[in-house]
Amino acid sequence: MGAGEPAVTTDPVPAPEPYPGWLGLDNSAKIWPALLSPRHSTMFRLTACLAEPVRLLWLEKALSDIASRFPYFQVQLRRGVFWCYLERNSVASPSVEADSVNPCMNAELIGRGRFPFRVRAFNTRISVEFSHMLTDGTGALTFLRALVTRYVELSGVACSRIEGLPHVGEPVDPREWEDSYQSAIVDSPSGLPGVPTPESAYRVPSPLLPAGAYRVISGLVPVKEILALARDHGVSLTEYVAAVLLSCLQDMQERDVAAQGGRGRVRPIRLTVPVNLRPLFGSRTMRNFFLFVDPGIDPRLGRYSFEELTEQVHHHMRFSLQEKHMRRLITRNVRGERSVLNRLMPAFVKDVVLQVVFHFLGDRRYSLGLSNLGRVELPPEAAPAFTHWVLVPPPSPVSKVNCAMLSWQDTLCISFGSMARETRLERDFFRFLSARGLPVYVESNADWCEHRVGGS
Amino acid sequence: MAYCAWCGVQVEPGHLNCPLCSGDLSEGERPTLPASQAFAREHEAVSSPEDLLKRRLGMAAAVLGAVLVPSALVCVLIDVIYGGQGWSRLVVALMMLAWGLGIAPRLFFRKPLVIGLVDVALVGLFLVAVDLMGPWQGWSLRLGIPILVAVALGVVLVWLALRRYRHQTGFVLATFLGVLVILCLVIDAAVSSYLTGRIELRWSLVTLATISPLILAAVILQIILPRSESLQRFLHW
Repeated sequence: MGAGEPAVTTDPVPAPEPYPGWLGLDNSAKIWPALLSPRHSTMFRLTACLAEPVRLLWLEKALSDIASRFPYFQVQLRRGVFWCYLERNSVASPSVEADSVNPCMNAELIGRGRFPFRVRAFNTRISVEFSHMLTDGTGALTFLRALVTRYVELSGVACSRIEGLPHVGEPVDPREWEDSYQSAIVDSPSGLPGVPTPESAYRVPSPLLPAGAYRVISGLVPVKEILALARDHGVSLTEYVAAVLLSCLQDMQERDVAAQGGRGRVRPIRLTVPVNLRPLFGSRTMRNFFLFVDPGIDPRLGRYSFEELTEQVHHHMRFSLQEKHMRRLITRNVRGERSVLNRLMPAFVKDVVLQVVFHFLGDRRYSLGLSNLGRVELPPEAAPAFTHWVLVPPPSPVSKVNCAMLSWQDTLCISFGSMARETRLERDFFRFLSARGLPVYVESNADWCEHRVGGS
Repeated sequence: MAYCAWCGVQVEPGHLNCPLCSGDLSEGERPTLPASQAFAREHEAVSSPEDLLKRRLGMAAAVLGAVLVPSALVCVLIDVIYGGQGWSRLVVALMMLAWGLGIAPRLFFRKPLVIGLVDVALVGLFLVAVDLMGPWQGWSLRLGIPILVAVALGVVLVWLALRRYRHQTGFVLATFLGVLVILCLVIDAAVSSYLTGRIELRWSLVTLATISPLILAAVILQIILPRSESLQRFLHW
């Protein structure tokens, strides 16, 4: 390491344990195999946009180089009698695929020799699409960061090591494949207070796109300027974007109700915001470890001004992001998984039951998902190779539209993944931002996604 | 670079239409202020969940008593008025049993074993009382109580197994099936002893023969499972 390079500080790594031949799905992944369908692929996408076209040979080499550093991703999804599980894949890593018009769709996830993720390349873009059965956004982002760093290294640029970025050749920490939900539960002999189930929420009223089509509209905005807007309201970036979304949904619902002559039913508007639990519980896992908080409003109580929306979201997020509250939610989820009845049910029965449960208690309770992966950190030497990064949320045929964002240097990318024919929400959202003086640059597959369903 | 004047955004090259608006127009909405909201000025005393449960159980027992006692009195009255055939004794015994079963959880709060014992004793007393009401045949002692005790012991055994082998399903399943078989044997023995004076096992042996292989399989599976990785991943639950 050179004198000018940043010092690497890492936690002491315990004695390496061999990666087991198989692993059960973690708590939040267990429901997804039951919900798999052509419209519900459970996949999300992360894209690194390079300044120059991708060199496929380097990418293939980088992928095979880092495969051994991520043994927990070198797996195939299999069906057991009671649950699905992850089994060591005999193939070291998937090969790089050509990209398609409809991201996150048309994936065969379960079976021998298949991977629950794929690496794709197109023009100047390197993308990874991970199923939520394998990992969450943080795990996928770590993988992509390691992949592109290796890619840049292969192009001849020596990259320094930074904290939190796995490096080729270093031993794998066994804590990276643990199911952190199991260690985060609280066991109280007096029982735990229940978690109220919210009623179903307002969702974008629109017919669905044909099965296999997934429209993505991404808007690039300068981080500094949108952050300044958020600071004006005394809230964080995520809270600000959540408030904007709530405001757009509130307007949309009002217009819908007015269009029905005031006879339409007014429903609560609720977002579901995944929260990374790793910092809260000191976990290093690369598998799923997140929970949702659900800021929202109830327009039946009256119209909310934007200031009220920001306050509502801000306080709700602060209130929900407490360790004890999270432990309560985790304990409820894990107890459900551990109950004898659920465990003894054969997988094919479980699939039906989970579909029914998800239908009534799943996405119907939320108007929209909003995911923020934060800032992407790479070694400073690798940074010039990239222009921006994109996070595409997983498709949901129930809430229809989801939103995700992440930032790279001074560019924030806010992406809407939608299965709705209408683009009202995306349009209102970006108009809201541009009306406040933010320059917005829009990328989309909107013109082509419907016409090339399933094609590349 | 393309620019959409309606949305105020730049659009990447290659698009024929704005991906956002496609010609739609948005209309501004004027926000309205919500009504002011009143707040409580004092805090109410908050009960612990345990107190609340106790209170609810006590209330349930009181309601049960309030319902049962007048009903029992009415039955006795009707029985006396219409010839005093004594059927009301059965009703009264049944209602006392119901009241006892209802009040036990309140009296022995969070002591499931004691509640279970009290419930068994009450049901046993009820059976003896019913037997005493007619000409004494002794079925309550020779048939009712042995079966009752066997059921109670079986429940306790399954409960203990669930506690002891919480994560060893094979053992729990084996215990459950074993209890089922023993229960069948006891019932068969008690019935035959009561009817013929001799213990003759018949149908319970069929149950024993059918369920025993399952018990054996559950135990073997539980013992083998931790040692066989392929079986573990296939059957993990």
